[in-house]
Amino acid sequence: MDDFKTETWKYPGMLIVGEGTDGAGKTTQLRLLSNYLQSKGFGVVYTEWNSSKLASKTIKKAKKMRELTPRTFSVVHSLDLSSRLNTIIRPALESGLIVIADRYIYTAFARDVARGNDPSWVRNLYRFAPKPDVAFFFRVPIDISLQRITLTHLPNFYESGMDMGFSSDPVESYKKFQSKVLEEYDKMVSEFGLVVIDGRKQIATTQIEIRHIVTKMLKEKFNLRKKSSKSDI
Amino acid sequence: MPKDKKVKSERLKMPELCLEKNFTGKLIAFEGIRGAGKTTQMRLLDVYLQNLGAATYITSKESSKLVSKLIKKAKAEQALDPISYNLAFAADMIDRIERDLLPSLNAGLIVFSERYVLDLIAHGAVRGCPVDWLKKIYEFAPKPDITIYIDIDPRLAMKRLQNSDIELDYYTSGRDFTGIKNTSESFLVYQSRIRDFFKENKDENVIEIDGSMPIPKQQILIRKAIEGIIEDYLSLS
Repeated sequence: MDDFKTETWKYPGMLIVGEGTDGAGKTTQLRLLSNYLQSKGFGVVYTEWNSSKLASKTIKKAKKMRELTPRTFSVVHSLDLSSRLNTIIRPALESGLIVIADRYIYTAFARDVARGNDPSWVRNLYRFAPKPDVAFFFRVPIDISLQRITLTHLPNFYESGMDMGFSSDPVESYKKFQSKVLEEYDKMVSEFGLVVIDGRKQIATTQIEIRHIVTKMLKEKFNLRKKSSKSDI
Repeated sequence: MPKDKKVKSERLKMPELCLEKNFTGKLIAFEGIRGAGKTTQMRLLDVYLQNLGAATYITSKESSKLVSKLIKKAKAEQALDPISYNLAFAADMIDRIERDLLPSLNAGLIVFSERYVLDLIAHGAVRGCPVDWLKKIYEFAPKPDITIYIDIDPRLAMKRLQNSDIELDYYTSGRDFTGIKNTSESFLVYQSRIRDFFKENKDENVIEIDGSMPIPKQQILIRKAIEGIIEDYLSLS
């Protein structure tokens, strides 16, 4: 099925992914991790969802104008990722850098399916993307993430899934839509081996937990790299 | 929902609502390589059908409101890798299917699609993308009632294009993936592969027209080929 050969694609770098609903604390934790790894001397590239030079402006504009259907919403985001894979992620991984992706394919699998797209259609769409070395799923109950988000802004049209017609009230709609998103994430834990991180804990406690996991992986990767370079000679 | 005149939120629907199956419209797709004469034949057929009293709608590749500008800019900057190339055109096609094509079919129009799903799969396949990946992406798209495939030798197509003011750019000549620096040589290799793909992937709904024949002769054959569809359509209304 996987003709893009992403499963077998061996690269010297490492791809670390952070996932979860809005307000789960992903970015906070991933930024801390990025600083930590750099302080240890690792080269880090940080890449955010919907940030490509190619597509992000078009996507933001289309969202503002509410022009996206569940399907086009999904396809333009896949275009954003494929462009970043080609221009940022792949080159960095091939050069032995650590790439931290703030949201990755699982964001699409959760959101786009919650929007009513067929799960196998969305999974197929993203078949070109390599599997990450690790994907952390920051999990918080919806009422907590909502509380965190509303400290700064009201959830916007697509964030709250108002295109689904659940409710004309952004907060009500957010609760319904994000509950579905969370449900999809929960299903993916076993499907893709997501590492569940309890997003309700203290920031520092969670960070230590993550650093521990990543450090162990880096050690393994380093040893693997030594071996393969020997056999190359 | 907030009332903003710029915002057309009533257009937003769940995917299944966009897929009204018992529409009365008809979908006629035109396929063929660059320079085959698709647009010429499509326009002639359009005039003919309108004279018969049929309401028509034309949609063409790379004209979506959502991403046509993005594609033009990215092409000029040569910023599309093969996968992004296909996803950009998928966004273009799906936006047009959901925004224009399905509503027109639902409204009972005859829709002409200048290049359709077969074309997009062909362009992806020759760039090395898995065919089943592409097929699955377009699985939901309505099947054409008939596809007019205009077949032509790429050398003849190139001659036509050289006589016009159409320039063969980086992507049209396939230089993004053929590895051939010479534009004309790359064009011939690229379009020959596309042509092979069309020929190998024709199903019973595809009518092949020899694009080297005189224009009126081709048009007569096309009108004949769509007779059944038109009869059916006109008897409905």
